Amino acid sequence: MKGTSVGAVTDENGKFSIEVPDEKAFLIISFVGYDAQEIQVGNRSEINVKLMSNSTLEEVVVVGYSTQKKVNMTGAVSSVDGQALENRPVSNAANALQGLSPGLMITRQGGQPGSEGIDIQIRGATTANGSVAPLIVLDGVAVPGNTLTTMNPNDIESISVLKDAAAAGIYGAQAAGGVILVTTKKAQAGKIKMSYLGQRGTDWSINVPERLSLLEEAEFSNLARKNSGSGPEYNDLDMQRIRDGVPYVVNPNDTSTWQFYNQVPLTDQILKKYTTMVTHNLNISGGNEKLNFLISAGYYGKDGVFKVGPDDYQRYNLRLNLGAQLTNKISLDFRIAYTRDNLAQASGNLSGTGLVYEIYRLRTRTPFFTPDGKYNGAGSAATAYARLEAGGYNKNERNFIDPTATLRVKDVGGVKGLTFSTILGMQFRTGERENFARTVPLWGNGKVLSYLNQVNAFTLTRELTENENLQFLADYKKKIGKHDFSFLVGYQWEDFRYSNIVTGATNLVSNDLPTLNLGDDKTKTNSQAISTSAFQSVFGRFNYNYNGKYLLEGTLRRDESSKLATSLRTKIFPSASVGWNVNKESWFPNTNVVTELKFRASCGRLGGALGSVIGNYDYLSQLSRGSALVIGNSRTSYLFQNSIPSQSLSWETIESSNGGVDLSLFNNKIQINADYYVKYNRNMLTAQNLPAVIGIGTPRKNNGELKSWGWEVELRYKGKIGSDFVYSISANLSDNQNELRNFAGRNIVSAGTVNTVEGFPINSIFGFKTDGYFQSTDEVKAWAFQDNRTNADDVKYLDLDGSGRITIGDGNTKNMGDLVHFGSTLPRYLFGSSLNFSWKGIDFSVFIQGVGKRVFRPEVQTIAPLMVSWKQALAIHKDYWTPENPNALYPRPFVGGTHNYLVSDKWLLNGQYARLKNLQIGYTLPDAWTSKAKISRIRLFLSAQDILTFSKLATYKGYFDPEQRDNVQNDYPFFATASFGVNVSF
Amino acid sequence: MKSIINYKFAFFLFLFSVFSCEVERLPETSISDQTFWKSETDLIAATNYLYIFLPGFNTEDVWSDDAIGLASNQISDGSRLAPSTDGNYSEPYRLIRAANNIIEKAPLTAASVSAATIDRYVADARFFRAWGYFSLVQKYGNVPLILKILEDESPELTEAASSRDKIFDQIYQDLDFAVAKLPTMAALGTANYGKISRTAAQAFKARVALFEGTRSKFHGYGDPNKHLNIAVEASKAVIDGKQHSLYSSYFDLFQMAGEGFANKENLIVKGYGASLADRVLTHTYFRSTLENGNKNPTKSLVDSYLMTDGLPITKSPLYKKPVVSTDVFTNRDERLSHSVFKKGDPYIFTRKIFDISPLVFQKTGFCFRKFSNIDDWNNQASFIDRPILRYAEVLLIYAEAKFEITNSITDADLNISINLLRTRAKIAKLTNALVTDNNLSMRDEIRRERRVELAQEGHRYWDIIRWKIAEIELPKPVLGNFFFKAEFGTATTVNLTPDNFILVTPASFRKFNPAKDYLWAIPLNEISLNPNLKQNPGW
Repeated sequence: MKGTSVGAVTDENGKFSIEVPDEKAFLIISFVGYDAQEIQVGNRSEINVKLMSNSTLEEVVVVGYSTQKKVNMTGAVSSVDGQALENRPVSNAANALQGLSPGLMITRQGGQPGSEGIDIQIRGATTANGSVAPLIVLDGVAVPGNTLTTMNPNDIESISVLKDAAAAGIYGAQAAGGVILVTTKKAQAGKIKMSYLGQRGTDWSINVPERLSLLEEAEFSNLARKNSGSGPEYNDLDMQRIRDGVPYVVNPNDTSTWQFYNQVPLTDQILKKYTTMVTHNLNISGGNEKLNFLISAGYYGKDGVFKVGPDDYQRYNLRLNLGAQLTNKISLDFRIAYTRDNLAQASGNLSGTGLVYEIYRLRTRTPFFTPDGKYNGAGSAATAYARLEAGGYNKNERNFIDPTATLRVKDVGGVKGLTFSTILGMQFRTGERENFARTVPLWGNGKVLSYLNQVNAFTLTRELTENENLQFLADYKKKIGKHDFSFLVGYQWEDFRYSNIVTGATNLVSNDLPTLNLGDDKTKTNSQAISTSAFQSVFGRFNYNYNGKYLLEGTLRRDESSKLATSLRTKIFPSASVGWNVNKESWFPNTNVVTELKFRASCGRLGGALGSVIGNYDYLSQLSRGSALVIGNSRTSYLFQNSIPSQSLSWETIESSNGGVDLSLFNNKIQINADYYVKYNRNMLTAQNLPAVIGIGTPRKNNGELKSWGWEVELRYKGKIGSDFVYSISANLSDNQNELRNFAGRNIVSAGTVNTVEGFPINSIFGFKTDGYFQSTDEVKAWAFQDNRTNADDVKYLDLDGSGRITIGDGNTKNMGDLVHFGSTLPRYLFGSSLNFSWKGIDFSVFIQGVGKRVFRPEVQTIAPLMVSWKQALAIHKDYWTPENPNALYPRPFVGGTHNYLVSDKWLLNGQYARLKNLQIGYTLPDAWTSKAKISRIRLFLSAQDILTFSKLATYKGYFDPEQRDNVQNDYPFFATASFGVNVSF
Repeated sequence: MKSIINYKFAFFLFLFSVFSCEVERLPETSISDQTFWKSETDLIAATNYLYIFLPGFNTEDVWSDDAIGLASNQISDGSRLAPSTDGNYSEPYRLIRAANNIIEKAPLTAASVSAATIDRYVADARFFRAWGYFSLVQKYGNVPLILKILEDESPELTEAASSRDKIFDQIYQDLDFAVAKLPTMAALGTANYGKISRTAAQAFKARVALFEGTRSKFHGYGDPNKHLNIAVEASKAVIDGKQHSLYSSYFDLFQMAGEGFANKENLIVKGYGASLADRVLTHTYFRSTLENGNKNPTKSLVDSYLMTDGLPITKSPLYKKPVVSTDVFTNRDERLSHSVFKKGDPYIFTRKIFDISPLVFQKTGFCFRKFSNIDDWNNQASFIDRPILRYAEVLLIYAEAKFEITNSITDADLNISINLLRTRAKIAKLTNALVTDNNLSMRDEIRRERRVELAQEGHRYWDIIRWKIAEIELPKPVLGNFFFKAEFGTATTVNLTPDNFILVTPASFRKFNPAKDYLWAIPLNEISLNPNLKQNPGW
């Protein structure tokens, strides 16, 4: 009771009773890890209090090789609670993480089930030599990057994203791309509990372009040909037949073929309007303090967009987490996960110039089928239907077994606070891919005209990943008065081995029984690849804090790796950080306004061993082999040296410094975290720029420099209206930029995306500036020379250097002619925001993710019509220049009009967007109903993913998606999903 | 406390002794250079690599006045700028390094391989080194002459360019070695068809010598006759060797029918194959280059084909102004209809019979025909080899070099060279009498024969460069076929000349600077990396 020494303690059910003097009495109700509440008793005799968990102060966060109280942390770590990933109809955990954590950038290439091309980056670029993926650590053991896309998202208890050197430094050579620590749910001692989650969703694709009617397509083509000085593609008779709706006629010149006038858009014939996704998850846990277990089983299945053929994905996850207290000092934690997934797709490419492009862009007039129902063999017909339905398959089945065992001894040798741990983790992962290119006859009138996969082929790939990870950790915590120390030292051994065997046969005797045994012995092929690497590391961490006020942390790691030359194998990575909990100072006003104020600073060094920047054996002189050489009309092999080995190669090391502030206001109702960081990759690898007379790939040296910097802000607000309406809002915003300061003098630019140019960000886009269209031939003549073909109604480029011609100058940064730097392809101002509330049994959440700024450069043949004669115009292309429409979206139609489609501001799109990633409405049935059925909880919910997008694509909306990749032809479309689900707990 | 520390220490010492492992990992599926160079098989594998540098099908004819693509070419129209980097400069040095590597390391196999066998493979390497330097000196003139394996610290990296004289001397030395040590075509046999033979090296030497002989003659430097004599001598050696002869059908030379060892006309080929089931190396030259209009014959080329009487269209009584598109081919050198499509020819799968060139692709209204094949178009894969040096060229070299030494040539020499080609093409023989009687120029006729015989095979640009007539030919407007309105289509809007020819590019868009454009620009990046390297004049 406030202002008194009277108090009471609750029983095990949380019930308490207390006597109060009068109605004005205030009760203060508190519990460790929860926010205290003050309640005026009034005239009530029964008071129900619901405490809200206090997430900052006592929150424990998983950090490298250990856990830490958030209040004592000095590094930049953001954590994501597993709940944020739950009940979402997403394909995998990585996808669900998009937008949840500031500084964590997750992009995807398309919506193909099981093959979305997800890329994860923490705090932007760390090198100009490709992307450096973050290190993924699952329950203390480093795992391959694809784990986040194959594990069961519902198994995740929490995720910590280690961003700066202080947090990631303990991972040394492998930490340059940041570290993501994933912890799976632990068994809880107690009664056996079961919970089930089931979800079924409907998906629809959101960026399938609208095609023209055949008549419009034909008119467009004829006009484009006329403009480019050629006869029409469709003559008057053709046009009349189209108008009359004649579907086809027998070709009078060649009766074995037809002339087609199909009017049904190819997209409608082969793409589904709606497809489905299903998930099931069952979770059983229980046991006692001595032995407890958690078993989870999950299923995820999704069908793709095509109406026929192999196009789906299924994933099965099984996990057993066991905890055993062997003695009162020794405990064993054993976790094992089994994953199996199956991906099925058509044989041959889907993206690029594969199936998807055929459906979007090939001529409407030629249908998939001949009038007598056979696959159409007309020369330029899309073969997508035949390929999907009868052209074989490409199947990939993977089986992963990932066990981890941790043996922990507390109070070793009777020393309180000293803990020894041994961790043994393994991944044993197999993959089996079968690709069958089946021969399909393509027909004319009563005659086979050609074949799809003229020679059938069967390729079998077997992959095996065997990784081992062994750790010994010693941890000692000691408190002497106000001095709080902790030490961690450890040793780690990691061994990675990947091998594959690829075998193939062609000309199989049977077209329906794909097996190597039936292939032509002369053309059978086989090959093998093995890549191995090993790391041996020792590391230590020292933490000190004085009375919780002054925080100090230092880490040191020594890594020895097989990837570097013998004499240069060992590298040391230090980091240090400090923190100051200002609010714990005695002079700090003790009010409810500012409840936490902490300043943090860190610096340190991280290594770029992950990714492909340095191959496994780059320091050795190896010979490459090729066999695409014909001598004596048969395959002939050759050996050659591709580059001079880089013997002095060392890791790229990133010097990272970070400053941050954590602020909590109004009794922790509002929490704000902000960080600013700068990373220098001062010994980035650069291929030596040597005169061409060297005649071979040049060795790389550690002499480049990349600066990368940015900031992150995260804000959380929790509130309550009345006693039932609980709500929370959170938002995060981050930015990252980079500048390539030194890259062996590389200064070459051209119109397009240039990966590396000194003085510019990596992946910079250079192009020309435009100023609308020429409106007359006189204007063309008076203007700087662009192209022989340029005419009125063509795009007008600016002659910025006044040379009288539109050029790229010398093609380097000293003189880049009329080129302008339009920024880099890197998205900026990434944000995520969520709003949750619950009222009685109803819960509601909205999660929005987006990008504040992005220069999106679509591939030229994808944005332009008839860049080649067979890539047809689409609905969007109807908006072209005419005297009545001088400000049209597109210039005049022109076959192969490359002169109008130079890389320029005209064809760069604004990739800014905000997307409703998830919307969830749930209703928990009242206890009164469910308890009768001995069910502790039933929740019904609707969950929708990606259903609403706000973007600046304007007219291009629906044609392009703001999440799409740069400069790539048609990718598999993205999906939006609406699902219904149920949570049941027993 | 102390005992605990000792205990901890001992514990860790124990761990390290047990688990401190060796991190060394070596490749398990590839070999290193150190373990290579042991046997003849190794020499074969190493020299095979050189053959991937033989040029495949390309569009280089658009550099010249023979062809134009969908858009004007910047080498042809004189608008080219000095590039920062250029594969034309760097790729030959890759080949040269690979050749130097073999020349230096082949002797390492001496323990198990005979000296003669080593020489045979070194000869391969020296041929390709000569090949690399010729492609450099053709374009850039003086370039650094590197004859050893360079490392990243080698001083030769910043060596100054050697004079073209010195480079040609090196080329001749290398080729002489190759001629001496390489096996003959017959010795290579079917199994090694596609490898460089003794006569191939000889013929290539003749090509190099003719280039430099005529170039120095018309550009006025050096000793033309030194090179021209080498050209005569080398080409005559090939002729006298009697290993080679002309193939019977000019059309089939560029079809599967003319492939392989049985055809004695091809001396150097880039092989494509092997089958639809085993697509080792295939091309889509017909579909993606010719049919799609990336290399279209010009009026200038088509007009250069003679009438069957051996006279040019401007002089022959057989010539009539065409009314329909097939008239262009009437009474002409047979090679025209073998090289350019005419109405009625088999064409592509979707238009089995050719009628007229669609101007949207073939901007000139003409379409090249060599290497065309419907099945290959449909399969999007062709196995037809690319002939790089034919016996026909050897005959042309002989005639031209002979002529240029004395500015005259005997009918006897014409009969053992050019007239063999004219007989195959079913046109009247070239004689001194024909020239005199019709007021022709022997030089022009020899050159015409070369242009026509080797059309579409990438020679014309280098010919007009060495004859120093690029400054005359390239600035001319690019014209196409006669505009047959009824056949090309009435809706077509196309630029025409007053006399009704398709005007592809007017002269105002074309120029050639003789002070600059006869040599290419050394890539700017090379100049900045090597202070001793000087840019070519005018760039």
